[in-house]
Formats: sequence, C-alpha cells, structure tokens
Amino acid sequence: MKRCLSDEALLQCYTGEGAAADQTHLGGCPACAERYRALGADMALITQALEAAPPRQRRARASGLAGWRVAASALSLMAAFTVGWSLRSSSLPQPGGGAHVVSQQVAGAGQPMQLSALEPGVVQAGAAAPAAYAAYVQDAFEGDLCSEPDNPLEPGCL
Amino acid sequence: MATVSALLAEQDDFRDIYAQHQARVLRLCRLLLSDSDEAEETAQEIFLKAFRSYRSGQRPEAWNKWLTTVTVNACRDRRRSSWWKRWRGRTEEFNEFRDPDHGHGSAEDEVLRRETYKLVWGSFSKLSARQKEVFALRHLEGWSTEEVAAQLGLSTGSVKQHLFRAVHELRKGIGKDL
Repeated sequence: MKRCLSDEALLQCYTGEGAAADQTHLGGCPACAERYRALGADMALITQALEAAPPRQRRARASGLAGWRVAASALSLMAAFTVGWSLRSSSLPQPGGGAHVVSQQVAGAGQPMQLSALEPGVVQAGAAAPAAYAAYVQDAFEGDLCSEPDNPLEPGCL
Repeated sequence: MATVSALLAEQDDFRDIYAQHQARVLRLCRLLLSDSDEAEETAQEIFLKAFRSYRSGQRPEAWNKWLTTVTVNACRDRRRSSWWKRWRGRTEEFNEFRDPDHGHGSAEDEVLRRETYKLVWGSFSKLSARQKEVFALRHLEGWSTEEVAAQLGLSTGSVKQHLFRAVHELRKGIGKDL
C-alpha cells in the first residue's frame, strides 16, 4: 500500500486537484481519511469565521507601540539637530583663538605667560581673555612674573 | 464625492449589478484589508468606478470577474497608501463581531464561537498579502488555480504553495496543527 499522503497532497485532494493515485489512497487509508475529515472540518470553521465575522479593530493611537515610535522619532530629531549644530559651530572661525592658548597656559601652574594675550584685539575677542588678563595683573602685583630673567619684553623683569 | 446610493437613484439599471455583487465585494475587501471601515470605503470606491465604467458604456462581459479584479487591485493600492495608519500602530485585537445570523446558542457556545472567530481573524490578518489574496480567491471566491495564477501573475505551483501555507497558518492559529 502507498505511504500516507503528505499535508500538501491532502490539501490538493480537498481542493479537487489531487492526483488519481492520492484519491485512491484516501479511499482505502483510515488514517488519511481521518486527517482529510479533520481538514474539511477546519476549513469549514475557517470559512464560516471569515464570511460571518467582519472584524472591528481597536486602534491604539497614543499608547503602546505608537507612543514608543513618537518618542524615538523625537529623540532622533533632537540628536540630529545637536550634531548639526555642533558641526556648524566647529566649522566657523574661532575668534580669539590665541587667547584660548594663553588662558590654558595661565591655568597651568608655573607655565610661561605670553604677551600676545594682552593685545587689545585678542583680549576683547576671546571668551577666556578677561580671565587671563586678570590672572596676569594679579601676578604682576605679586611679582614673580618673569619667565626668563632680564627679558626686556616682559614688563617688570628688567 | 457622490455616494453610491445617490448614483443608484440616478441609474436604475445599475442597481441590479450593485445588489448582486455588493456583499461579495465588501467581504473580499474585508478579507484583503482586515479592517471593516477601510473595507467599506474601498467597496464604495469600487462601485463608483464600476458605475463610471457602466455609464461610459464600457461594460464587461462578466461583472463578477471584473469586480473581483478591480477589488484585488483596489485593496492592494489601499494597503500601500495606508502606511500612515500602520505607522500609528494598532492592536491585533478584534473586539467586535457583527454577526446577526448567530447568537441563538447558549452563552457558552457564543463565547466559544467568538473566541474561535477571533483566532481565525487574528491568524488571517497575519498572513502575507499574497497569501490572503490566494486564499480569498481560490477558497472563498471559488476561482480555479489557473485563474488565480493569471490574475495575480503567479505560476500555478506558486499559487498552490501560497494556499498551502495560508491553510497551514490558519489551522495552526486555531490550534489544529497539521
């Protein structure tokens, strides 16, 4: 006797497209006949459900997954804006760049001070320049200003 | 936009066609869209299209097949254009069944039936668009495998495969694994 029918062959028998040999087998095999009967019952139930029961879906507008999607989109937009803004800032010319260097040198203990920090343009333009100037003036009053002994270019060192 | 009922009042001859096919087209839309509201809107659009065709003198030999073809295409367009609705998100829960023919059994039977229907619709909504189309046309509309293949631009073997997978998933959904 032929082996039992595959699920696919069984479905083809159900849809009327089964091979003659499969149909013959179905008539003589109780196991396949039982599977065929179960398939028919399931198909009838499925058909009944799909024909008689139009669905009403409950929409989840502002909750669950939708909420997560909105939050993720907002975060992405904020991140993109931040990156774009920082790139824009870094591409612009930095006013008072020299003063930046001076302020870093002043902040470091025992580091030499450069006079370029006192140039009017530099002092006015750099954001850290006033602090550097204040530190310089304080050092000038307290002495111990000279980085090199007898340097004529450094006031108070002569 | 004119409604179908207004157009029907204008053209009596079209009323028979509408009465004959409306329920079938609506059912097919529901199956392919898995959403009653969208299905009703789409069915309305399909009959407006059919009416314009009718009035312009372009009348198909077989309205049945013509309407089915238009319905499949309209539902496909609808699915593509409804990305926003899907993006908003929705639950998979089907919580209301309008089924006036039932409800005569016991309360227990009724609950059981509703649960089974929910499972079937839940499984059906998870099928791929192609599987839904094949299942609806082959099994519910009663088209032959060759007709479905020609309509959807598939081989007959592919149609059989899609149908087999659809049936497998639906049976699995109601707890009857093959």
